Amino acid sequence: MIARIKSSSIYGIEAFPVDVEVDIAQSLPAFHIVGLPDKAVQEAKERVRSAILNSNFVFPASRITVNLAPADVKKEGPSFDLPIAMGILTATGQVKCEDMSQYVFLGELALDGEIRRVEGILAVGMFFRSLNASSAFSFVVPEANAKEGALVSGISVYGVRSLSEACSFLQGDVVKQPYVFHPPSFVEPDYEIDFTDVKGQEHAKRALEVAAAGGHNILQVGPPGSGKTMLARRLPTILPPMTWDEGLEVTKLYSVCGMLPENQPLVTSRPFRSPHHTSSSAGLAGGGTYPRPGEVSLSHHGVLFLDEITEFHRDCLEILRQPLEDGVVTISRASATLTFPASFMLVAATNPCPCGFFGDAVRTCTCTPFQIQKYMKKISGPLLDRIDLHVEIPRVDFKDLTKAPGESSKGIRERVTKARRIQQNRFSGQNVSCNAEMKPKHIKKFCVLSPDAQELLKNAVVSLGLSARAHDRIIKMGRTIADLEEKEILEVHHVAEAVGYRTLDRKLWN
Amino acid sequence: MNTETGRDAENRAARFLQNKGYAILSRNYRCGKLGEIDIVAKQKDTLVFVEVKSKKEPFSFGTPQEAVTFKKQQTLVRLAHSFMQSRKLIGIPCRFDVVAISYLNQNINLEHFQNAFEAR
Repeated sequence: MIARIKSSSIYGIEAFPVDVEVDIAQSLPAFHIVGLPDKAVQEAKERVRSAILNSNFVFPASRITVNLAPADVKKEGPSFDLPIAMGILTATGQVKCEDMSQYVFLGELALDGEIRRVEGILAVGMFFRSLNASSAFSFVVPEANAKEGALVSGISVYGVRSLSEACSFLQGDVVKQPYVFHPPSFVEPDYEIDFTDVKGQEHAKRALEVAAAGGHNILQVGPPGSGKTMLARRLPTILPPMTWDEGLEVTKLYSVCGMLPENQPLVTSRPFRSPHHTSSSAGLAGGGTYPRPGEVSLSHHGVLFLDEITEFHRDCLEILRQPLEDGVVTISRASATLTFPASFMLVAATNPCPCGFFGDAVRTCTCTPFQIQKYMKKISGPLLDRIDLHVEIPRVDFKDLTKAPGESSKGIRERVTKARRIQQNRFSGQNVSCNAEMKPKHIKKFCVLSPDAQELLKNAVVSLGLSARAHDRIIKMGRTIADLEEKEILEVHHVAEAVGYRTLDRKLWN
Repeated sequence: MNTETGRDAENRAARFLQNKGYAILSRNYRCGKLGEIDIVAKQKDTLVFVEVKSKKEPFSFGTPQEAVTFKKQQTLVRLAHSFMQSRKLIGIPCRFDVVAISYLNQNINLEHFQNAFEAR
């Protein structure tokens, strides 16, 4: 008596199909699971046995062999509980279903037969939809995951609460409608924080606006308490709303990591991740025996905020080079090479020196020049070159603290969204989404400088000793600033402002 | 004295199983130095290997059923294989039961655990 049940597992962030074969033979009673199961899959034995007995079914006193095919790929996680239980019940004839092969099962069992939510349902749904449109699959998943699965159009998702409910559904005793999910709108994300909370720091707000408008990376340097963290946290509130496809990509990542809130099946606001400076390189880039996305991937389409960037381990920071350049992070392990999406805006903050008051107008810095140099050398040249904007955040004057609140996030967001729309039209069909992602050929084509601007840029590069990459970055930023003003040609003041965002590093990092 | 109790318990267990409609195929089945199976019985088509455990009060060393350790289970599995081979019983359903008997003053308490453990 053999039963074959379809299921799926996740490797990295992609799903692959798993056939759960259950054979029940008349021999000494035993329960074996083969097909490279990890500990969580092995322990399914005890959960499945209790769940079957407590759902008033009979657990056979026979030799049960479960094979998870393909047999040479490691399987992890508790989502095979439900398919194994269905296999045993089908093989013993306790559940009779006419066409078992059209169903895909995923779910973790509780000892009383309840079905618990699992990770990665969205990735599984996307995979099976991409397989073949003609062979339609139905998904039997935990009720708590059903909304998430229903995000994929063109597949039917049925949510079940318990093993007995799943069985009566398959036998046709209970008729269920596939889940229909109406996604929330992306237009007005709801944030609890706002730029009106920030007093003063007008030039820093402007720099963040430019960064948001062009997707540029930004480094803030300033003494403690000047509002670096406060500003950075408010950056997502001025970013343009996510598109449906972006939201789906982010949701897939969060689903695979099991970080999706239960009542929110779709991530609608841009992620903001601020890993602590003790993070390991695997935690930042992703990794592990069963590779998982790291912080750079969790901030995909959002903001990665590295507070106290100089305190991070050097190897962690250098890892950021590839994702900053390519928008993906590639993890090579002995078993496989995986690529995770990691297209994020880097926002870094640091003090100018170990004591924090170098260059401060009020307090005196107590550090030696060597200490300051050593502190700042933690950010390597290549990494600094990839950060477009460097802004100094000085302490806030008392008179600014009592001033009327500044512009709200909504107003800034409207300007940013407008600038982004100009960029989208410009780059349509080019595989580039914002100014920061422009390649040299795009710069040549889309960034036309007025003769005065050309002259200014030449002087700046020569006198400041800027690298070729920095030169390109200035033009890209100039493009963004011009987009904010809806100008086609880059004028002098656009380039001048852009150069202003590059000079600080030369002052401190010499 | 202890052998006596054990004998008595096995007899009680056999009578109990017969009353439930089991056919006793063998008592104290031995194979070389492996050990022995207390009772081999047949319930309809199913072959049942029964381990009988008895304890006198006070239960200072746990209940009788707890005394069927993993090592004892492995021995029983090996013996079951040997029994089935010697009788040419292949491909028939079978299981392991434990009958636990505790002597409490004058009361005798008998518990029957069906499919108590599995081969590994």
